[in-house]
Amino acid sequence: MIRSILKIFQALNSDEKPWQLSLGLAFGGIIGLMPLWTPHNILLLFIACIINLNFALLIVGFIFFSGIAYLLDPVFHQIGLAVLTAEGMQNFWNGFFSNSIFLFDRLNNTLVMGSLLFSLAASAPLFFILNLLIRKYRQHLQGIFDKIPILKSLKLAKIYDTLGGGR
Amino acid sequence: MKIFRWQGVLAFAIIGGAVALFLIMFIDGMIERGIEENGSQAAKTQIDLASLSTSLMSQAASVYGLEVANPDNNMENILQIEKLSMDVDGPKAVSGKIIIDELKANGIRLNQKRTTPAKKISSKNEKKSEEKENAESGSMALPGLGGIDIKSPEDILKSEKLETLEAANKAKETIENLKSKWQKRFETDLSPKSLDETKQKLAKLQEKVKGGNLASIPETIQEFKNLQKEIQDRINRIKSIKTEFEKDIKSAKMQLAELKNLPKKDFDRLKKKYSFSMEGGGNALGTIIEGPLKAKLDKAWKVYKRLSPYLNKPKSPTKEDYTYVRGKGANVQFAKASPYPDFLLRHANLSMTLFDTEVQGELKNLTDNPKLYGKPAILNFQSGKNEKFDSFDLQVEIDKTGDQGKDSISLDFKGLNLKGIESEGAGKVNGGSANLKGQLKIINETNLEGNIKAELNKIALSIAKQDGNELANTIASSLSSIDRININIGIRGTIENYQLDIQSNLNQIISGAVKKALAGEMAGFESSLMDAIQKKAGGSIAGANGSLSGLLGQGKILDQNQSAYGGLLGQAKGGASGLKSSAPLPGGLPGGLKLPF
Repeated sequence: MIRSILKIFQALNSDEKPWQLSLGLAFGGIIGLMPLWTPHNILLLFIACIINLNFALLIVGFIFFSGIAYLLDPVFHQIGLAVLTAEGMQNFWNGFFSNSIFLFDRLNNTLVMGSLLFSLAASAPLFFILNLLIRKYRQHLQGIFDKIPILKSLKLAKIYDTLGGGR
Repeated sequence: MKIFRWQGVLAFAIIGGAVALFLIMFIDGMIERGIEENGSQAAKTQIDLASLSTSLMSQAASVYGLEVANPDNNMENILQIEKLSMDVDGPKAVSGKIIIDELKANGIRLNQKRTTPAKKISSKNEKKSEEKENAESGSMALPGLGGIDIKSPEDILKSEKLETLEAANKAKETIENLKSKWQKRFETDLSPKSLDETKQKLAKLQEKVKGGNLASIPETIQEFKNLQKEIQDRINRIKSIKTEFEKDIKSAKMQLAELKNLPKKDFDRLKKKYSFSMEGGGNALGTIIEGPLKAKLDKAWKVYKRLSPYLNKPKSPTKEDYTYVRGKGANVQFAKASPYPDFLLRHANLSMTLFDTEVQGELKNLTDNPKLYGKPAILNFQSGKNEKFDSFDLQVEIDKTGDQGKDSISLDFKGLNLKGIESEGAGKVNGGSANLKGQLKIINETNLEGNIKAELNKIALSIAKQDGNELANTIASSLSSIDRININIGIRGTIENYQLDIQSNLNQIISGAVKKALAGEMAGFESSLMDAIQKKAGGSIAGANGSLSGLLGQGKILDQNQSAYGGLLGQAKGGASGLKSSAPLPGGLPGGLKLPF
């Protein structure tokens, strides 16, 4: 937990661009919100590997949004069920799923489809909001936070962590 | 700042390669564990695999040593298969469909003993109900060979209602009601006061006559006439009451007369139920055949009901058919896009070991969505003559392609050598053969209709002797050699509530044996049963008779009243006629002149 917080502050205070940080969190959010073992998650991971985003924040985002996903599980099912069984979309879906790759991707699963739609819809605003917040942080708060005692103790914890061999 | 980091491709390739290598090395073990764990949970019984191997290149898989434990007996495997090899449709597997084009199953064995006990895989509630079922289901055994228990007449009468007793009590109650009814009636209608009043009226008139007032003779005659009429009315009323009373007496007597035959009726009923007779042998059929058969059928229905949902998915599921499961969701079907069921076994060659003999069979079109696939699943096993039997033919059809499921099973087993077959309780068969033929239809997964015919010829049965149980030993000896046993069983009803109609000569065979063994004992039993019935019902019958005597005694008051009023009427008539003879001439003598004579 402490290490995750430190990682966030480390990233926030690093030289990386805000978009790298917010994209890392957004990717972590998408992967975390969806069921892990789906082919498109592996594709997302591949994209995350080649885009120069912050991987530490991707992992933090993945852990955080996996917890959110557990809470939103019934909502994802309802979204997926509504979309996949919508009367007006049956022709589209029949055509779509006649390509077996999409069945392989389990997009006909209510949870996969619901979480994919939700995470894609949420990721763009999340990206821009995080981007804005990081800019604001760096602009106004970065200097102040350095003076707060708790952060000093966090720095001590980091030293302890490092000395302890990263256990 | 670069947007892409191409070294990420290498990192991804390394990680992906490592994962792929791991999967290639351990996929078989993972699938094996998956089948064992998930299969056990789904089937609610332990499933074990000795080993499993898959080949992605040839899209084939082989399973060795599949064992499915009997959920009701953890030391038995309900199904064992030595080797199972299958060719899977690879492209369909990509779409999440398991389509097995060809399967071979060798060494299928049913009901084999396990070397280690199977784990129980069920909830606490299920465990309790299963334990109860196990306790209820017995093995096929001869009735009461562990000691035939003849209840004492006293014990029988403690638990049985006697018609005699009930009828006697009812008759007594009816007569007592009649008694109180007539008592009240007599008090009101035959009051001694009114008799006294009539007597007084008569006495007054007689006094008047003695007074000799000739002028009042016509008036007195009229009064006599009125009194006569009054008395006559009374007598008529008493007669009418008497008729009514006699009617009640007749009905009470009839009720008591009926009581006379009831002890015999009770005796016959209880004798039939508790004494061994030709009819009583029918109970043996229930114990030997019906009980164990029902237990086995109930187990079969349980398996059938457990499997049915997996073999009957709806063709076009509606929104409501998709149930939410946390963390798993639901897979929405698109029949037009992928007109294949999720699971389909096109064809399987099966080899089953039955009575130590290999029987070949095949299974076709087994699917989880027959409505979508449009063909019924067919299983058949056939075998010709061999050392153990003359022929074996089993046909099973699971047809859920229509709105109404039509499943059927038919069996034709000829010339089965029974020698060596052993059953706990029923002993060992030393010789004989059996022909079995039966069919059963299950409509809409609920309604049953079927029949089973069994012919057992030249049966030599050896039942272990029981020390100190002469009765059991005599019966066992009678059953040691039976020329022929015919059993016809009809099954009708629903899976939850079905009836077995069993016809067999086995009841005669057993009744004969029991009768022979118990002839002396039964005679004593019957005599003491009759005594016990009479003793128990005797008091009530005597009570009812006593009540009738009381009622009859009440009737005396009617006779007394009738005779009293009759006497009064005679006197009234006498008085009136005396006056008539001394009455003056019509118009009388002038001036009140009296004649000198």
